[in-house]
Amino acid sequence: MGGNPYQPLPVRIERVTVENEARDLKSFDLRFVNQGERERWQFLPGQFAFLSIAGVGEAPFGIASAPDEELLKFTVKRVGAFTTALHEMEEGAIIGLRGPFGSAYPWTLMQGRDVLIVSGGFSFTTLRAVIVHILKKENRPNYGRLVVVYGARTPGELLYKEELRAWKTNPELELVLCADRVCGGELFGFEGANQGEGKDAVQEGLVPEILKGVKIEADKAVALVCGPPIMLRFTHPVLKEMGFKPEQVFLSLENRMKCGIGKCGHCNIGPKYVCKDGPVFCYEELLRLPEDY
Amino acid sequence: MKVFLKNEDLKKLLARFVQEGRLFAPVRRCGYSGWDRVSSVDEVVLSREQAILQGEEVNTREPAKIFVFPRSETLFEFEGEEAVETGEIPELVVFGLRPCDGRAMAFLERFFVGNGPEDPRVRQRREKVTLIGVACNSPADSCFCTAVGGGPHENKGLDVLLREVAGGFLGEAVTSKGEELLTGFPEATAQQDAEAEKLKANAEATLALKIDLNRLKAALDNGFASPIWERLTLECVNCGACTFLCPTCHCFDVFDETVRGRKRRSRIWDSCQFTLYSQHASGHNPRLNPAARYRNRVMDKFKYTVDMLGEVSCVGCGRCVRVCPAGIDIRVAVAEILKEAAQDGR
Amino acid sequence: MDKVARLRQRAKELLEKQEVVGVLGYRASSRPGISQVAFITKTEEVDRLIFDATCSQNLANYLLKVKDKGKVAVVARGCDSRSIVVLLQEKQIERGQVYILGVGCEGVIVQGEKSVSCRSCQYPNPVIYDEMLGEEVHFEPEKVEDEFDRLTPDERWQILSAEVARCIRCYACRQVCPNCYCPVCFVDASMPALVGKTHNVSDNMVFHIMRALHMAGRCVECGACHRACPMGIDLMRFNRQVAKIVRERFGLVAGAKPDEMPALTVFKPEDPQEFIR
Repeated sequence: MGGNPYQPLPVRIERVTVENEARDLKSFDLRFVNQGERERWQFLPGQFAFLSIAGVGEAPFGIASAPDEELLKFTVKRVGAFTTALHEMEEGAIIGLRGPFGSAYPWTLMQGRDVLIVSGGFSFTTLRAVIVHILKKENRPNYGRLVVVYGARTPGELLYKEELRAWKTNPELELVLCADRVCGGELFGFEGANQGEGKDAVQEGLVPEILKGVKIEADKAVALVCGPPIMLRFTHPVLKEMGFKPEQVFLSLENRMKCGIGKCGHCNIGPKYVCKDGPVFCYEELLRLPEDY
Repeated sequence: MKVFLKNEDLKKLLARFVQEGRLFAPVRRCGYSGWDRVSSVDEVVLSREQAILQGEEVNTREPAKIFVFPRSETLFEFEGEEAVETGEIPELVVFGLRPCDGRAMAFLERFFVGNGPEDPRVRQRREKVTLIGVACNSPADSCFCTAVGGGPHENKGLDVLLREVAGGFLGEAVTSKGEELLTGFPEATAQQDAEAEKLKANAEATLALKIDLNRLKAALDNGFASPIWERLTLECVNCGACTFLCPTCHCFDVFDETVRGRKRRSRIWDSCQFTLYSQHASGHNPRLNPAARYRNRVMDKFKYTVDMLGEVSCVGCGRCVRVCPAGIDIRVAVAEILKEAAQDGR
Repeated sequence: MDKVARLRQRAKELLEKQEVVGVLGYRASSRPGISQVAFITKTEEVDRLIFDATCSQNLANYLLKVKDKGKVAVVARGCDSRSIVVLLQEKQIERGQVYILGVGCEGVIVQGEKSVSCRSCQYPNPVIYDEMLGEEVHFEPEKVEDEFDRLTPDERWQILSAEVARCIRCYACRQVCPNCYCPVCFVDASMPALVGKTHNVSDNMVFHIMRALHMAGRCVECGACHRACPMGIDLMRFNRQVAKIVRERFGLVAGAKPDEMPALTVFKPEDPQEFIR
């Protein structure tokens, strides 16, 4: 990423997918407008980028696609001025992309180890990138078990349902899905998955609770955790019980960001910037930082 | 080599820049002085000591950071979704900034340019500005540069340091730009040098405050949960005066605007003292409590920048002390923190 | 007994008897000529309370900060008391939450000077109080000879632009004002954005004019905003003008009469309305 770090590159929206029943989460698959820019745009899962709309603004989002995927995927929740404008964009529209920024998940450490993913809500985005990346045929042998615990408020709020369905029956990973509330037999937008039917179930329960039922040898594993602050708070004790030491747990944090390159000051946690020194932090490091997040 | 510039020589030198329309100097306003583009060299009160007697303050209200990091700036314009560079950065000469501001410029340069991805506009602005600093012979009661590793006659971050003596100024070039500026002036005599040293010693003698920066860092390393922050900030109204006038504060907000039909992305100063500064899109605000925001500022100046770049970023200019509408004094905060640490046996 | 001694004595008594949880007043700062706000909660700290011409903040602003702690005593001059009246009228505080220690004021002195607001003040004594500390103050207010009304709109624009050109949008003026208590200020609105954020004269003008208009009928002309401004902008020029218009058109002065509602919250048939044809 050379040139002016504040300037976005133009990308075209190839596909828009509504991800949840509330219709406030949309995935955008993007293609670079200019020849050759995709090849230069190298990143690893865990990193993020800014999406930009001229005259409206920009905001940071975790990269939901894996490095080898042709299109770049971002999943965006509509919360304010910029995301509303983005949600109103249609396929074919051009927007801006700036990045990649930040730290990735600890890929070197993860080599040869089991990978436990714990995620809640729409923080799951960068973890989709992790899963797709690990599942790639050439990459899969480099990792041990891939165990994923992913939950949302309701099954209708789960992201990437098509892929979740495929992963449920993929022997290369173990996928545990849960929701705070599972309403009886029929589930919105996620047909075929119903309560309490073995492997295909979306279990009822909060992510930290469901996590307790996972059997994994902590000393051979690395845990990647990404979710809302409250989920993080209740997940740590469970991981500790399971034998995970702080050095083996990695969190992806979010914060208010403007520049993405560690200059504007907004995202600091003590002397660290979430955009530059994070967003992926080792839990061990986080314990040494002030609780300013 | 130290040279000597007679008052008339300095005036002639500055007149050249005035003619080119690119000299900025302190200009007296009501009760303080601000930066203005000078249209006539006679407007410039060369002797800063004279200026103080005439009602200016020891340093300008706005710090010299405005010359590399202006209050608002267009980052680029848009043509469709493509970014287009805009706004030639002009060559400027700044006369009359103080050693504290010079030190701050060096810090800002390190922070914006020498630290990870570089900020191109700050770099370009620094390259195009010439900083002619003037040493302090009469620090104010709000000054404490020596307590934080600076000094009234220090030259760090400047291109030229001028030291006021009888009849003119001793001139020291700090950078090659400065050397070029000072070519042709006669070498200063030993007498003039001694005079400057004496004035420096006198100035330093008035700066009585001493801060054990290492002890302060250690106190802050352990001071996050201290009750001190609540105690110190009842009076804080959470405006941005301290941060905006601080020579090393660098936070900014980025936003888009459409001006006369043209879309652009701009930045303006932002302050960690504002409530919305740390608010997430989800509505969560880790620094909702004003005490947390004040703590962040003090921590950043005396601990976080030490962790990040190895230096304290408070330069002791005293502006925050002078302008705070609530009368909050960062020296008092520092003293309280050290006192508490000592009481706890730290 | 002088005012300050009386203040300290009463503060001590109110705290001892637990009639209030704290006393909001002023104390000396680290620098001569500058005071800070004090919220005294312990009887052994009452001697920190002072009252003199260096006391520059409007304490009604801080009342909003501490009101949730319980019943609070507050030192109030004429302007502060009128601000308290406005807050009472706007239901930001309740009468039972405050014990007002009224005190007469001869003006705030900053760097040896008394501002126009203080020199021309018509309300040096509190309009509402639970007790008075010392005697009322009486002085002849200066008559302000204002050229402003005789100027054309263009000339006025020149003067105002020159003032706001140096505004750095630190919002010190807004933060020290007791009337500015909106959870989200109009400058921070984003959907839609109402004011430009940059420091060009146009955006600065919108901010200052709008703020002054939001003050119409509410601003007590205490001058705290002017004293707070780090760039020495003549903010009272805006507020004084708006207050003058309210006085002339509605015959009302902000907070002067506790029983009267603020000018722009009430409509009376006899209100001047020559602009409606």
